Amino acid sequence: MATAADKLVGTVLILIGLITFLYYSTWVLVLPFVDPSHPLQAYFLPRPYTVIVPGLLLVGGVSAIAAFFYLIKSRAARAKAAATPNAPAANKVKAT
Amino acid sequence: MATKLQQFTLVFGFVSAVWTVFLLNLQPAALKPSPAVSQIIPALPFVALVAFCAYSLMAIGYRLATFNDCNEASQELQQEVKLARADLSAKGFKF
Repeated sequence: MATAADKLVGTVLILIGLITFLYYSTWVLVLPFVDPSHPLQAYFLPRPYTVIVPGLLLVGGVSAIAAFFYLIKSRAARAKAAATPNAPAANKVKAT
Repeated sequence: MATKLQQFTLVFGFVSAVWTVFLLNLQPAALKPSPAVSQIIPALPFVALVAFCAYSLMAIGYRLATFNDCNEASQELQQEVKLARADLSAKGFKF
């Protein structure tokens, strides 16, 4: 059974997803139709950031995944090299 | 019947082709978007991306919050293990 902590974390994840989706949709899809002097405009960053912010997050996220893979692969290669003494040294393992 | 990959490639290619036409302003003059809509067009792939991310996050959260123990399946599996053990023992297998 899902524990209380599971339920809490699950609910928080759902809320984060919902808030992100609603805020971003409003920002991108609704704001161009709202008058530039409307007070709603004060709650959102300027227009170009609709592309810049998710773009940076995407690049950062993909980089983090790639770095993680590289770390895991090189660690595994080093462990393998240590296990088989006759194999070429770990620092000669080709980068993936 | 087209495979899933073919379906995806077809739909994705068509949608991105239409999007590119509008992004580069190559559409027929009759379809010229209003100033507000032309502000939206460059950000559309990111809308799709953010929507997909939000959906994934909510799906994970929902499944995590409603995660279930499968007591019946566990009992059934243990019964089957017992049966298999008895069967194998009868045939002379030693554990």
